[in-house]
Amino acid sequence: MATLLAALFVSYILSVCYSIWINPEIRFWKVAYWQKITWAHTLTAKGKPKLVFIGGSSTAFQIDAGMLTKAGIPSVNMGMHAGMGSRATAAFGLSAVAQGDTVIWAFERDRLSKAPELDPLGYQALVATGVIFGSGPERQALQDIDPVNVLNALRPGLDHCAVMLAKVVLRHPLYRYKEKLIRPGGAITTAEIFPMPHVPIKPTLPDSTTLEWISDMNAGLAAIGCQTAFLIPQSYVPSDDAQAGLFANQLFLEVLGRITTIVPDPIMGVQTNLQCFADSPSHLKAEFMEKRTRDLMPLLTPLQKIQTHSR
Amino acid sequence: MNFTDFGFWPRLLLCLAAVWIAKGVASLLNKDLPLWFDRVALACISLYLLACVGPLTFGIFLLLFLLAYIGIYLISAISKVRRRLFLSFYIPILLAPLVYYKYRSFFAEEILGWSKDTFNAILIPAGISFYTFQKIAILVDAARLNSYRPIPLDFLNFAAFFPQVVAGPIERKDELMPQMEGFRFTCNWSNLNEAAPWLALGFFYKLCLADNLSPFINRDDMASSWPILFTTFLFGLKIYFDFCGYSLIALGLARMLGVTLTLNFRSPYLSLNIRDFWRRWHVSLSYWFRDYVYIPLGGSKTRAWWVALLLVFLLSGIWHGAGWNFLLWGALHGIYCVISHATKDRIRLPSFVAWVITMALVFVAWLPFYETRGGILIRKLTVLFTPSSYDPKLLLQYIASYDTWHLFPLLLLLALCMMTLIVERISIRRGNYYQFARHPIAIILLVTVTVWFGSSKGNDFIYFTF
Repeated sequence: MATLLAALFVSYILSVCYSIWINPEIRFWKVAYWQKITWAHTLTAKGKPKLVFIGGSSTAFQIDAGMLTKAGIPSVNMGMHAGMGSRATAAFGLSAVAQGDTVIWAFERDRLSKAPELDPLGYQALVATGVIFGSGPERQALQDIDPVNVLNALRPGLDHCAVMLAKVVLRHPLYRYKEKLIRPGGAITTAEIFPMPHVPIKPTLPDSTTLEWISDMNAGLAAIGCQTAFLIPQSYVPSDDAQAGLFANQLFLEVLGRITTIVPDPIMGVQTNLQCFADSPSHLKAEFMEKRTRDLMPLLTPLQKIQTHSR
Repeated sequence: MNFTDFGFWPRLLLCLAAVWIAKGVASLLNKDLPLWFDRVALACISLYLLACVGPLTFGIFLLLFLLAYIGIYLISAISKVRRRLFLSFYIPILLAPLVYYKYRSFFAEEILGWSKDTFNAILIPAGISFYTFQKIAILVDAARLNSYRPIPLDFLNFAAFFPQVVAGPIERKDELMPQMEGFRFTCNWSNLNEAAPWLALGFFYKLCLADNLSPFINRDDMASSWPILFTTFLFGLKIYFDFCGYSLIALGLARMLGVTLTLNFRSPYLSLNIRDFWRRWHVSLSYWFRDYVYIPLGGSKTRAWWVALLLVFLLSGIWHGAGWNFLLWGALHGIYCVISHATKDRIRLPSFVAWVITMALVFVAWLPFYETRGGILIRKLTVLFTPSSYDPKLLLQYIASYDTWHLFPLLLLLALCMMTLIVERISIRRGNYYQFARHPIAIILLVTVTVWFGSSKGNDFIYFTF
């Protein structure tokens, strides 16, 4: 029994150390988070209210907050990995929020079509960055966290270990994104181009618990003088499915519009040009990210005016 | 109770700590605790942990406990001649809660043809099939003895012993009752050291193998025979590692308290024929059916032994769940066993060939076991009986459908499963089931692999639903 307990203790400690300090995926997102939060703190220190974009990696690959800031709209892109779960991505984003800021929720439709989640990767990243211990607005996304679940999620798991093992054997890069491709303001770019899988369009509505969750966070943000809005991320939809895609997003935004302002994106998240996308149907190539950012500027300026006025 | 639920262990440790504190205080005050203290404490722990499972489970358990004890009391008071008659009237009373909760919808909808919404969906008390059978067994055993009246406290400990109450092993009076009658809480390294290998192996089977297999079991892919066969194969592995893992943890928990339970699985996937398989798979249930159904029906001594055998397997099928699919699974195994019995002295196959045939039969039978949706099961069987669905091109298409990075975890998992079965084989050759887990290096390896690879998404044990 002593052997069992000793092995349990040592292997657990080692697995946690691996997850927090060695796991290449966590290392990348930890660096990304620190760059984003440092940018956000710099803007806050200048006393400028800012736009805080919160969402998954589609947010990270679609909004060049550095460009927006240069154009006079102080912004930070807090988009993280959607695989961490919506609660984790929200917590990371909210940790950058200061009084008077405007939060732009930019979650993927499928993420909001189910109850708010916190996946093992999310727990690991939250612990690695220390956000889980924070006491600011991020607490709104991290209510009712069971410490046992946190301890359990800090182990790497078979899927991760098998993939890492395969990458080492095949001499494949341990993680596909590079720290040097993180832009000022928090946007992420990639040079990789993958074939796009065909994902059939399924009209889905926001989950009721998710709507309640967002409403609660909006109320919490309003209490510290923050505005909120929702911007639907772009995703690749083949031309044949464009109408179905538009219909699905319109339906989705109609329901979401009952609890938050919607940024009136004219293409409503449906992008039929395959050439815009890099390694996933929601990750834009760098030049198309810049184009989308330029397109969004006139839509975001009124939001900035509101916040300047309210302050 | 779910041993892989993190809530279970703090509760158990708190209970044990309370017992040790009471013992320590008594020792400090130089007072001897009464002899019944340990047995009362064990009963309280078992009942508390059972109550934590849910009020329905707890309530039905208490009802059955009372019914069984009254039954034993009554049967000891009547003459031996009338006991058979008494049993034929009293066993259905013991079975009534099981029939009500588990089979009423099936009986009403499938047998009587009533509408699907006749009954609202109701929860089935956890482990009801297990503890009902355990109580029937002790009632039948009591009928065979002159005047058997266990002390209520010991009977409660026998019936509610927490490591086995929810999912077995279905222990018998002769094995468990004497241990409950003389039960003492003793904390010694010998018990803990004996428990450690079973706990390490049980958690490895459940958390690392069974739970990680779950996401790969895609029950909806019917594009060809290959996904159906592969899913069935994965389910066969999962159910073994899941249930065997649970049984091993139960064994380890009982050993920690100095109690020995039946080894419920004996490397069944290394069996060389179906009869052998059923001597190794869910042993306590197989022996229950043998002793309380097959032998009373005449056993192998009658001409109609095959009818009794088929009946046993049909009952075993319906014991697992209320559905035609479970009956089909039972019927398949019944037919296998009848053929195996009838040909046992006539056909001799090389060991490897016998093993391959046995495993093919066992794994194919898992299809009706896991596919509880009748219409889908028929569609899957239709695909399997269509020769063109075995086209090698379809196999290549199926393999290609796996994302490269998704394939590696599956390959690693299958390699772990196969290595485990090989090590089980080596263990048997050395004379003992699962002996390999006793080596300290094996314990370290099992624990390390479980911690690193174990799934963090909790899955209930499959047999809880039975």
